[in-house]
Amino acid sequence: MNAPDFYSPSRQFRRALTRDWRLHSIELLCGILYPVIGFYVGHRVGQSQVYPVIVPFLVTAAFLFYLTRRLCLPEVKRSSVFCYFNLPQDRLMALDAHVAFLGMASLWLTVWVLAGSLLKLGGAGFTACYRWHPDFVMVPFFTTALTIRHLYLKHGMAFWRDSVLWYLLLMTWLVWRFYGIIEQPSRSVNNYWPDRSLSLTTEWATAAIMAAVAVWLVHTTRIQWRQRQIGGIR
Amino acid sequence: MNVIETRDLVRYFGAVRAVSGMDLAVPTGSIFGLLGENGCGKTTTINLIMGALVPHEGTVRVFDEDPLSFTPATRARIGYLADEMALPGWMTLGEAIGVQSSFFEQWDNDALWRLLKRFDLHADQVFGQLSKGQKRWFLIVLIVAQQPDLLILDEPSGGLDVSVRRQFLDLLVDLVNDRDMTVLMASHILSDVERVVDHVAFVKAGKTVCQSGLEDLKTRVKRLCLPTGTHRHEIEKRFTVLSMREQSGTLLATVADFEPESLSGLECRVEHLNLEELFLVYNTRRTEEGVVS
Repeated sequence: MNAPDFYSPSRQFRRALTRDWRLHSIELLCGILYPVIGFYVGHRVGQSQVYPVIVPFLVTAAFLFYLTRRLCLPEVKRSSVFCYFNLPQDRLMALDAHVAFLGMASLWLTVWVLAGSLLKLGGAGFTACYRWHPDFVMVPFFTTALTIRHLYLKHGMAFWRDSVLWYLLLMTWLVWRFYGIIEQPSRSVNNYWPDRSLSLTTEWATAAIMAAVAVWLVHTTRIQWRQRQIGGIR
Repeated sequence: MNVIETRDLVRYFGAVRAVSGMDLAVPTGSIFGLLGENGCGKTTTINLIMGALVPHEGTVRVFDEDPLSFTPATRARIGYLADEMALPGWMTLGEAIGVQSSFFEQWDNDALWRLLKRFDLHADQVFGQLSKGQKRWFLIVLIVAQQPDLLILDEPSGGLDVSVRRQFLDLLVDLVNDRDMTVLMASHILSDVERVVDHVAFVKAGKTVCQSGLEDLKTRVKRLCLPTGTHRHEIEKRFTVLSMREQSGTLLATVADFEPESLSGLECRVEHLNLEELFLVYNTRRTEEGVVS
């Protein structure tokens, strides 16, 4: 194979993705435990099951925060041979591979949460199929995007100003949703639908906005990382 | 032909001028020692050479290319070992080799295993359980297996015991002889460097204060031991004096352009200087006294 073929963008991307898989596949497989454990956290079996429906998503998001740090920090800090500055690869390509890997990881774990809901993990009364909230599904993806942004961007004044805004928005939304659901659980009178305080349409709209913002966060991070990667440290 | 050339290189960190007009010329096939005290700008210079830092002034050329626009193919020609490099502690050496080798087109597996056997290293050993010397050796071998044309080593033998250091230095000499590789090594362990380098640059306060072939430098720079009554200006008239002091009734003059003919009529003893003494001579001089090359 000649050099242009060997260093073509698609081959670089594949190599970087394979590296991520080789380094982190065990964490990803063991990570299944976290969403499953999430079904049993914070409630007693037999209790009203409406509240824990958000918890597996939160636990998954927390695990993805950890995984994103493990994956991306050596690249940013140049602390591992495999992510070192002198590796013959486009560093933007490496970031793209990380994003692809973490995107798939988020999807993989979210599928486990949804499967757990269908299997009524967390207790016999956990009829989560009535209580799926589309906006909850976006929490792991949004958290991953926010963490990537946090790790790859320079931490200047503008970064912190924007970050405070994003974190406050996320936390406010989480707390509001969390308590909104706890305070107004499902009852037989409302056909076991929790009083959502948000309509299902609004939840879908919220999910779409969260997805769009997550994509935008990653996109702007890529642009700034492209500028940073030349010269690495400025 | 030079593999690395830097000219008037300047780099600030905030108000601190870490590199202050660095000029380097690393000839092809040489083992080049970049020598200086801790904090004198060696690592910053290497980061500039690697393209990991953007210079504020001056130019860097490596393989006649600007490091800031290196292609992956050019990067593959450079093997780089930094002081703080590491691998995940849980990984076996076989797994690490598998990951690293996938990034390089010309990977020399035979050389890799031959060199690993010297330290009795096997594929199923876990990186985190190796001794410090074994870890360092493994990283060096990983880089050598890339078959680079240029090896850049930042404090390569720091923290290693004498026997590992000796093997490592022997390996460097073999690589240069067998593969026509160029080596740039930054170090403050001068006894190590002296064993292998053929060119040196002394760095002080971010600036090259001396750059030369080592043998040439040793031939040119000598210490003259003269009777105390000798007139200083008599010596200064004949030689470029780097330092002069009196010690135990003898006037010690270190000169930069020694030639035996210039000694005619002077009663003196000539002493040869080793690398450490040469380094001290240049390092204790004031920076503005200029570069000798």
